[in-house]
Amino acid sequence: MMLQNAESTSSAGKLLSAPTNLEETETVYSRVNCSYKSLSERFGLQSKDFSRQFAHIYAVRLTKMRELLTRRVRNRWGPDVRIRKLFELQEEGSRKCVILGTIFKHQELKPSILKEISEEHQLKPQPPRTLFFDDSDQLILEDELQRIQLIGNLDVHLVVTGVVCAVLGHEDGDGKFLVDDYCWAGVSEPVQRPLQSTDDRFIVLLSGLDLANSGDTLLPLQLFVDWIGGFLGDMGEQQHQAHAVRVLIAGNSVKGCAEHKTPSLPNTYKANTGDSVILDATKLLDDFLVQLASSIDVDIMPGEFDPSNHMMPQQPLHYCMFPQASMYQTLHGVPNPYECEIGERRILGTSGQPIDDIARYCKLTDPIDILQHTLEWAHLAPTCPDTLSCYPYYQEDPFIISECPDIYFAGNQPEFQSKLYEGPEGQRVRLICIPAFSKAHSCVVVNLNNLDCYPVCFSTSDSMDPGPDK
Amino acid sequence: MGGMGAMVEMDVGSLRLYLQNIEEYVMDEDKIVTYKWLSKNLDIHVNTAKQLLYTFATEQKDDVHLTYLVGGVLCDGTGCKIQIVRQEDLEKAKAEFKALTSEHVYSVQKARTLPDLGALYAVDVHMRDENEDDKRLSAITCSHSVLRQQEEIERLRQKARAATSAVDGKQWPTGPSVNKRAKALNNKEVATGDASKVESGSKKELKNSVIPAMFAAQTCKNMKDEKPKAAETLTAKPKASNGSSVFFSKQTEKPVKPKVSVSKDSASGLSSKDSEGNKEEVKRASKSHQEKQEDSQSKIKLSKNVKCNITKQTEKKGGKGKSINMDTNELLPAKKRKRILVISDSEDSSGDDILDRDDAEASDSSPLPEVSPQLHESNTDDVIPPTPEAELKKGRKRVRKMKDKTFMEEDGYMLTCKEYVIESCTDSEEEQTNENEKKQPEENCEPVKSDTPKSPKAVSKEPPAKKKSLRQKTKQATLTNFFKKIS
Repeated sequence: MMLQNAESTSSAGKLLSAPTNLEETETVYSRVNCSYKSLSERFGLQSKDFSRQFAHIYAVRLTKMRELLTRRVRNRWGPDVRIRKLFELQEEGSRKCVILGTIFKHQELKPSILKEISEEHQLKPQPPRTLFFDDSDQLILEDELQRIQLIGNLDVHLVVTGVVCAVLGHEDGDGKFLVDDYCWAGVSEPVQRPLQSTDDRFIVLLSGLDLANSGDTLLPLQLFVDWIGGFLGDMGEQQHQAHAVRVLIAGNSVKGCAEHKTPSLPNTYKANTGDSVILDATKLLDDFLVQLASSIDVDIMPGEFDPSNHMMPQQPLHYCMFPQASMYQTLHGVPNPYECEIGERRILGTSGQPIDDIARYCKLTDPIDILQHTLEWAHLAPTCPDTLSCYPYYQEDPFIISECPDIYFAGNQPEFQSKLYEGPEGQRVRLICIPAFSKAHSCVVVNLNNLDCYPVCFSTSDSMDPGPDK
Repeated sequence: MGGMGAMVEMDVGSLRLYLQNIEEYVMDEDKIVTYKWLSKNLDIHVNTAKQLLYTFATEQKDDVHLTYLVGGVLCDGTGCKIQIVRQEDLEKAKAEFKALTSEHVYSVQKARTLPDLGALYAVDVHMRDENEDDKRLSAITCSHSVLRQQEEIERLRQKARAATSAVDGKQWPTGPSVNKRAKALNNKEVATGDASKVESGSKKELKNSVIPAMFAAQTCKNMKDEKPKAAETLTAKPKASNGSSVFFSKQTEKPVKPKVSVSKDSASGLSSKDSEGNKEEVKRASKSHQEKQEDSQSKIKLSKNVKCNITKQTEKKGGKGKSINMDTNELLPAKKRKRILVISDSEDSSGDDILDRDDAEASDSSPLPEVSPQLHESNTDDVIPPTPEAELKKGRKRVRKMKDKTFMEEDGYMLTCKEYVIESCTDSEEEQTNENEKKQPEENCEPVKSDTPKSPKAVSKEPPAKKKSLRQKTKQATLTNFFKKIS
């Protein structure tokens, strides 16, 4: 895991000396070049037609996942197992068969506008909820024509609405389907991509800068920018930094949280109204980005609270917001979710909204766990469009993970977590939960060659805990 | 590291010089000197700056205090850390690291204890604005971090404008949203995406209309050319060079369509002044559309000067100016109304055909010019039938009066009789009264009787327009009346 080799550590402290041997200390390293290909065309909105229903996404999702699932089902339960549509279940009677469909989770506590309106009459004040699961939730499997309730081995609290799955079982007399086993689409087959170079190259992932509430974030962020740019550190560190090829900022750069709706005295001198705060934060971000962009390629993704559209997929932040930084060719605005290929490594990720949404509607709490589940479900955001707003797609569902990524990340998570997921066919996927920089002051460095990753924290001794806990 | 060739040493003279500079900054000016600030000020490599700070600090010993930067791999395996520490905490901080990759001086200051290390951020901030060259003093260069070419930036901007205008064109601008856009036009100089989108929104509205599109194409080109130039030239150029097109575009403007009027004003100039006028025009246009179509029709045919004056007035004045202009519009063409409407009828309908808009207002506006001329035609129709006799001149008020008639009798005696005579208020028909006089001695009552039932009808049926013209003629007539009575 440790990337520092002898070369970088040996030069530590060398600069605690008089300026002799300038040739050594004033070496300038040139940054390593790396191939890049953007694969996010499917997330760009070409036409914006909101007159469609959302049912089309589900139909497309089911059709596409059916192909992936059929293969898996054959692998798992044998080639002669019967796959049936729901309307054919009558003929089966009580024999085991497999049915495929989209899961719908019937939740009592899910916010519904109808309930809100009806509750108004009863005048029962409900406390605001953030978690909407309950023990009374039920799972229902829907395919193109019918739906059936699922009971049995499929744990209701570990799935969410919108996941396409295959279940093996039989119909019991009650009109419900008794599940013996289930199967997800899973990751697709790995594509062997030989690495071109043996140099160490790494990318840096960052998220949740939250410059609108930038109290003590500024100095760590400046340290980060200096570190990437090669100002900071001894020669070894700087040489090491020259191997960083790209910085990816995964959302919530301008703003990281919703506005506080606390009741306060009316403030006639409106210094902190929303717009001015956003504008100031955008200018700050532009200042940082221009420093970053002058020395490295930067991809910036929009986040939940950034000035971009609310629906998934979020469109890239407009370059006009960054007048100084957009003068550099190295600044790229990319959509959320984002997929690209850097140095033959496929990188896929979001700014964290799907993960947060899933955590609200089921009992999965660990973000890295949720991330793994979404990879297994082969869908970036299964709760779209049910509880996470998304564009009403017609003939495509761009959130399906059809090709296995190498690095799969989610931004704006409470802490850094990472896991190397091993798939059934030998796929290796590095799952990363990127912590919010405004809280953790740390970024994530990922080595492209061996998929190692580790966080790098930027701090001052003020922010150190004085307690003797180490 | 060994194995290097000849060591390049800093010569003693420049070393002394640098150290003196540092001493000046720290001791005399009581600054916090960070390595980055020093390297920018002295134009030296960052690593050299770090070494200089160290050298300075060792010379000064206890008079100055340092902060160090330490970085490395943490002992507890949670990754790496880069940290600024005060010199007294240095050893403790270093103990946390399993392997140290960096350790150098971060800053030098005279103060014994920096209460908040966050102040170190403020030191470097202001330097950033001055030049962009600080990257050359760093230890890493990036070959592909080049500036975009100016043409590329222009191309991107135009693409953004076109893209966003394509989106905006689909949505019909309602009143408040149009105003919002017009307001945003005011903030054109603010470097946000909204500005370009708003301009492109108004530009799209330009492109949507066909008749003004001919002029819009010209203005668009001018706008595109002028965009990179200074904002001041923007105000001057459209007004100067597009003068004629501005006139034409304003003439064919249909205020019933607020969209088009918005575009017209955006064509006339992108300055903030004009955008204010834009807002006024929009409000005026929407108001006129709702209330007074006749006025709006007349507005079209106002002279060029009047029109431009009005827009200039709207630019200068605020909402009050707008209402004043509305009133002046009403008063001025009051006389011309009839004539204008007849002409504009054909023009508007032809204009609508050419425009061929799929918007509702095209259908709304086309009945409007037809309605008003019809109204006038019906007026004339209403008036014409009740005035069949040629003797009864149109629109004259008939009054039955008692008058003294003096005439010659057979015997050559002059007689004066009192008779009821129907005569018009205006006395310009003396012939008629003479005729009446001739008839009257024979049939005194009958023509009177026959006339009386008809005349009240004529009087009552008169529409207000006739009364107006009557009044006009009566006004004129009284003047001549005055002279005739004397003679």
